[in-house]
Amino acid sequence: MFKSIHNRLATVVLVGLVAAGSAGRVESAGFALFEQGAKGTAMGGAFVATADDPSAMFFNPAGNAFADNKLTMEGGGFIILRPTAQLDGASPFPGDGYHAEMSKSLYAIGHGYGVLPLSNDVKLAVGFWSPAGLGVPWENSDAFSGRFLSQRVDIRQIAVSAQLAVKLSDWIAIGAGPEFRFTDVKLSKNIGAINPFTTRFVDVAHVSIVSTGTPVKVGFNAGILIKPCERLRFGIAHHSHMDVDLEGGAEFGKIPTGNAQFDAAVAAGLPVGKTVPATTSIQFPSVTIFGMAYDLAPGLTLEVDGNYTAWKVFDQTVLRISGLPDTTLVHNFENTWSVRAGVLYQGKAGWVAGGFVYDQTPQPDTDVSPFLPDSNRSGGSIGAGIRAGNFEFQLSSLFLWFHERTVSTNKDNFNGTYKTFAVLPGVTIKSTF
Amino acid sequence: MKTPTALLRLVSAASLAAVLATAAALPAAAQVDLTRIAFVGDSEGAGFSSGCLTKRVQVDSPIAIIARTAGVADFQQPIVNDPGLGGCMVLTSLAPSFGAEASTGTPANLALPRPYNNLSIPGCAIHDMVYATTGAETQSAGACRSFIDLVLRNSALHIGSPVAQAVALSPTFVFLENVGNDYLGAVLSGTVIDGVTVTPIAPFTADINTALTTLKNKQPKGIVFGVADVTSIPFATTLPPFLTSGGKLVLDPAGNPIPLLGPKNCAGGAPVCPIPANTIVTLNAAAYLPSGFGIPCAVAPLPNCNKPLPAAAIDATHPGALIYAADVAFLKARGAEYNTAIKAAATASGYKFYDVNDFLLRLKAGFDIGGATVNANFLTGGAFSYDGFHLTPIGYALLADDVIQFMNANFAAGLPRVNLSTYLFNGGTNGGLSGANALYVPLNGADFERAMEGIFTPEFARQLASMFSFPKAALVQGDPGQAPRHEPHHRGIEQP
Repeated sequence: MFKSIHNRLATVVLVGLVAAGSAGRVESAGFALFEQGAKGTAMGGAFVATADDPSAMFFNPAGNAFADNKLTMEGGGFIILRPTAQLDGASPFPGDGYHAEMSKSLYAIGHGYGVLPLSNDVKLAVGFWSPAGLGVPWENSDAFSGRFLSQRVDIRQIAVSAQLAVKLSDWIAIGAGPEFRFTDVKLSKNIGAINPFTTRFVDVAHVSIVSTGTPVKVGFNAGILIKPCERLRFGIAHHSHMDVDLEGGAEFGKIPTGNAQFDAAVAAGLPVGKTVPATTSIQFPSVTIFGMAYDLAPGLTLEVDGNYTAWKVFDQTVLRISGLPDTTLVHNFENTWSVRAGVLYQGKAGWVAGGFVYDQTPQPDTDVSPFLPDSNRSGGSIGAGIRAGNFEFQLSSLFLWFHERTVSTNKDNFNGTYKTFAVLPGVTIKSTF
Repeated sequence: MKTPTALLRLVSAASLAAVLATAAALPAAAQVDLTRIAFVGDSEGAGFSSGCLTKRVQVDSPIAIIARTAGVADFQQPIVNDPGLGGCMVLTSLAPSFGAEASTGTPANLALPRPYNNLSIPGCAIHDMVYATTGAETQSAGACRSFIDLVLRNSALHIGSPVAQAVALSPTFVFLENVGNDYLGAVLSGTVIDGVTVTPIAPFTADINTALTTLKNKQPKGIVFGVADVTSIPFATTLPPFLTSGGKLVLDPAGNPIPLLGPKNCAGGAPVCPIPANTIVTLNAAAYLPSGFGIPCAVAPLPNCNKPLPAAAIDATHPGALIYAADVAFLKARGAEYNTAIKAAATASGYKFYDVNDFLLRLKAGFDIGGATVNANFLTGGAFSYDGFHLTPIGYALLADDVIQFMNANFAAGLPRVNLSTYLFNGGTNGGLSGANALYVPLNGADFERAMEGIFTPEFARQLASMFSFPKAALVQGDPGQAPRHEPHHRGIEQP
């Protein structure tokens, strides 16, 4: 039996990891991700006090303690579509009338969970998800006016966790476990300089910084679920903050200007054609989720959550490239709240749900740039699950409106108005044995 | 009878309220009327750059940029068709070496039947701005005498000095800009003499008071620029007081940098000795160093080794190249006195004082524009032209944007910011210093090698290090035993 369970778990993990391997763009404020299961997402992410699904590993590890005494697995993913992701520039730079768009890249994030009952009251859960990600690729990047700040940035992160969920009584359960996070980062931009012959700012080199290896950082997650009465539930969950140290290489490529003297001077001053060691550290914030669910009627649940993300840890990024002075990117993020609400109706054949989210941006105006143009978001979600034997097919979609954000005080004097709209359709397949 | 009176009162009150409401609702830009600008200024105001006055840069003079950004419909300048007048400097190699374009530009707007809005005249100091009406009347020689008739056209207009012509415009807003010609000549000629190359404070104060009183009597809204610290421009800050080679300081056996040689304060009355480290070596030195002036023979047995760099002009074509610390201190003090006088005159007239020194200090630190750094470094900074003291169109655009922000802050002008993209990526709205096509002369192997050595002066290395975030020490630290750098030829001067 355990061999069979092992194989099934391995399959779920493998499928999900393939999806998670292309994790991308931020869909929770900053670069946190909150889309870790179709059911929770259908409820606008308000799921900490419901948590009746293996995705409770993310939403509230205590939730699995109340799961049926069966092996339950689920896996799936979300595709992130951005019909609108654009910048309208402002003077002094890149200037009034300037317009740029992000590439219409498709991103996918994945998740996979398995819950194994060890006893009536104790469950072992193993799973993975994508707690953070960022993908900001600018179209026509060699002509993009922000190319000296960022042409493309990708941060991908996968969390793998094993949790124990313990039902202490019929009304209270706790759950916790270590959380291993694997992270990689890619950054690319052009380097420019004044060409003394023309007194114009020109592109002289391109640099790509790519992390290598699979740096892993260990944190923890924990949750508690309380059912003080039949129709009311409270949940609290916490994911710890982690500073992830990354190593990799910075590869410099020459961009000829057409002036041999100037090109030679640049080549003498930059390691063009070489890859030199680079390191950095990225701070991922802790997230604490509070929520309350109330059964309005049999099968009909209303949940309201508040998420507190301690973004202040993301104050600066120090980039260390061998042989060069450190580059410090000052972010000064602020701690934020998001509010989530969802309605869930569950019947024998399945469930339907809808939700709403308001997510506050942690990013101050000074940091809003082509590297990460964040803003407050409002979203609406819908979803449904259909049961068929041991399986349940879950579908959901989140529609996310990034509030238009006009910036006039960016620290690099790169100002304008950013507009983004995103749609995140997702699917999760759940099986119970 | 009461009813009509009450009605009248009601209508009157309503009308008054409507007028007040309309006034309150006027856009902020209405606080400043730029319909008829009068800009009295010097070469920086004229859009002078790289030693010449030419259309491709004049169209980006600071006030032209402000007028264009503000959407002023009728703004006129004394445009000179390319290749301009004065002989525009052209960078021919990174050594650096320069050539010059022909000084054959022709006036393009000479027949304008009224004064120009931009009344800036290269080379003119405050006294000329107030009183001079023709070249024959200028106190300042050189450029002011050459250009004043082109701008004032008094043989046709018969109006008078730049200030008088500004008044004749019936301006809606006034700028008075004189950022240094009252003492810049001391730095350019390397000769600091109060009353000769430096305007004494008393006549300066009298003239600035007269200028502002005259202007404010016609238009009470205006801005007056302060003077710049002429000892902190690239012309005075680029070359180190030490011997360099290949971008590195040449060190003596004890590991110390080797000072260049000068004529002043030498022990025992010797005619030549090492210059103190706080001495300014101006770009004029680039003409003397290649033949050995300023270089000890023990280091490089060049024809004129062991001879001092000149600390004062030898003749009209051989300027001084050194400014000793005492003269630097005097010039800084005089600049502060000028600014005190300008501030007092501004306060008396109601004009706002724009601190150009503050702008230049921020420029020296660098403006970050979307990942592009523009600063005051010579050649690589982007803001200063090849002459080392006039700005490029990029520099003028930054200055214009700064003045606009100043106007928005002080007059609630509500003016839009300058769009810097064109200046940064195209050099200016009309191609900038290099025009449509940059002049570039490919060098042969030996010349190229020399150019590569030349470009890496310590200052350039620091600039490059800063530009590319490179470790400064690796590029500027001493390297004993290397041959000294053969300094490149500088335009116009061979040997004293």
